[in-house]
Amino acid sequence: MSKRITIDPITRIEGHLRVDVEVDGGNVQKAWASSTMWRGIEKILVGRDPRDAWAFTQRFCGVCTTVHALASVRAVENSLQMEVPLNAQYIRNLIVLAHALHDHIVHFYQLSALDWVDVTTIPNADPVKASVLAESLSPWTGNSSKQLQAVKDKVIGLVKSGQLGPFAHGYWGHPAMRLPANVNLIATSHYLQALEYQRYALQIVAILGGKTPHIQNLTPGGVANAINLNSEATLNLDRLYQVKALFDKVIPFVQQVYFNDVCAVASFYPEWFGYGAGVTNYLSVPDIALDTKSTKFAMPGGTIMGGDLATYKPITGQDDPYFRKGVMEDTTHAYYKTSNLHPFQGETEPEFTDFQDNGKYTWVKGPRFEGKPMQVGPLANVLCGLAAKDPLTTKWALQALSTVGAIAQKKVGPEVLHSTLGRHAARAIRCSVMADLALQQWQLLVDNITKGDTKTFNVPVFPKGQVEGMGFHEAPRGTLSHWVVIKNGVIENYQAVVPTTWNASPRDSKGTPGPYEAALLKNPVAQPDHPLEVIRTIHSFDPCMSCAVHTFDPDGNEQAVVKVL
Amino acid sequence: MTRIGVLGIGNVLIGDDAVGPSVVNLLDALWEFPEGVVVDDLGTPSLDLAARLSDFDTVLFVDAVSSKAAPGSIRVYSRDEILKNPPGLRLSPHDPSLKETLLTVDFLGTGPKEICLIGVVPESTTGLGMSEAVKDAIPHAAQAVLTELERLDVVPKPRKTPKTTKPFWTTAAPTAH
Repeated sequence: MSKRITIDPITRIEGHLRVDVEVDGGNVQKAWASSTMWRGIEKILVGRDPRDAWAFTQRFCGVCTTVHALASVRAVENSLQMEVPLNAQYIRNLIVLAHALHDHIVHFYQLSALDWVDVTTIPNADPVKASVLAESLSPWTGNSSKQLQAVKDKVIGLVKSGQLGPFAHGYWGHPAMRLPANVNLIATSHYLQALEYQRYALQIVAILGGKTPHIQNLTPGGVANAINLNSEATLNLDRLYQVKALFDKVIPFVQQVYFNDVCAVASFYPEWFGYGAGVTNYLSVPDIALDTKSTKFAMPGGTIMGGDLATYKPITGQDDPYFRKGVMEDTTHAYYKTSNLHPFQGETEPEFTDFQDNGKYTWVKGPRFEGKPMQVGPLANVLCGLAAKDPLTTKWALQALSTVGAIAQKKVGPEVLHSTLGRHAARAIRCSVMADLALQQWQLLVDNITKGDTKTFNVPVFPKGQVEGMGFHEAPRGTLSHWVVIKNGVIENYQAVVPTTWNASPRDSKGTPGPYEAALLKNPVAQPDHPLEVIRTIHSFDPCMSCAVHTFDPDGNEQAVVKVL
Repeated sequence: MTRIGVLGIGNVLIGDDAVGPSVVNLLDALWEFPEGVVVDDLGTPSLDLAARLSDFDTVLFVDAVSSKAAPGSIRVYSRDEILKNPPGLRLSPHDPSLKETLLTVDFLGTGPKEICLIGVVPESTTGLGMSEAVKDAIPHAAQAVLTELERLDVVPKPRKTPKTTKPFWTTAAPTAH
């Protein structure tokens, strides 16, 4: 007999995602991803000055502030066909890269590592042997037996106190937890170090953006940073070298710790390369703009259909009609008046019903690309990079596959990436690529300034009549696009199509499920009241519901509620 | 020197959830604080809060709190009350991150020693704009922060030229549709 499991909410952060699965014979047979609150934030922007929009959009979500600010200024610039000075592009790129390093580190360690790492086995770990193992896998200097002993002692203290503190939410002792105690100890030690290293990445954002979490330096047309190498009050060499020094601290943590930990965890759970593929149509947009017209990018993007890299079709820029015309939002199963519209015509008119398995069941709209559901995120980004033969993506992807293969002692090819673990591996690959790009962008900025170019801003001029603009950004959770219609210099319509709406999208008018829903099918579930396996697959997407539905639950659901019917 | 953070938490676009940022905005607009005191609007930082907490020995949070009390009521919670109450009490809409973050920095041994939450009970948590009850509570919540600071021997000076007390999220769209 099948069992229905409801998990609400599922993120460890402010999450408002609800997942329902029907389990039969130990496997998921049907799945629904839904969101439980509506806010209608886009309406707030109507009637405002387009130059102010980014300050509002950066408050959509507390976790991804910077990405919404950037997509917004790009949309306004695009509507005016503006060029952005090179310095401004490089400064924005450095902010994007630092933010992404921070975000990916936090996602893996603080939000999802505990799906795989059982902290409660650590009292059985041997810090000396764990240190030898860690040092054989990585040149990282933070793996001494003394450091690992200290972490073990802390965890023993926590276990003895009967309160697991920050680890109280985990499914400890679950049969699906399989890492040896020594590996759990290493991973937990890095979980703690991650809190320190992600901080350095945030400091970079603060130096360049003026402040974090809400950067102050963006404006349609460029950035507000004044550059004068001889002035204390501006972006000068001293500040640029502070940024470099911080990257030099964060990058080894990404490439020697995070990257290796993902490979090590993956090699102990090889069956998870077989679950969670779901939708294998992938969408990623190019980013890290290299010219003033935003037509050349350091990271390629495009589409891949049916998991076949040979179908790769590049997206060349924000004006590429392939992307601009391809996107629509299907609201057949969402709590909105059914209106399957392009974002420029997009409406946000609520029509709430109860949760109906075969009717409307979510506040998330269903974005579709040429009528198809698409998976977005680091996996889409990495697969497009591989298909485009991007050298950095190829280098880090091959290194990930060979590291996993060496630990697991078997050959592993790129086909394993279409999976739950593949999404984690792709995030670590992308993060390592972005770490390399950060140093390149830093050098480009310094070289351009020392050539004597200090321009950071072009003045936007709004014409009479109506213009439309689209700004995209390949954010940590995937393709983000803001769509703005401006009439006589005032915002007429505004729609944000965010990464989590692509991935958490509901079924569409044809009944085709979205990526979360499809990825859960055939997932094993050993214990219906502890559906760890469902959570593994959902967390692998890095859900961020607070911006997907722009929502807030006044009752403040505080922990995952698991109901088994 | 004791490092003190006065940190406003909340999403400024969701009704009364804007109260935390609005209170710190008002404090910053009217008062100059001595060195070592940081008054900041953190929005909804979730787990990123951990990275900020190690900067401080003492933190005063200002946030909307779910409570049965009347909208606009001000409630002050100590660290033990934040951490010891059973989860069902719902101290704050951001509680999962606040509580989890405090436990995490505790475990690391890097967190602030003293924590206090100045909470304002919301009425409406949809749409842009705060309810009248909560708007009226903003100066009182700011006063509650000043009282806590006084207890910590922090005496701010009134600004000679106040900054704007109207942050961007309180401005109406200039063109109505």
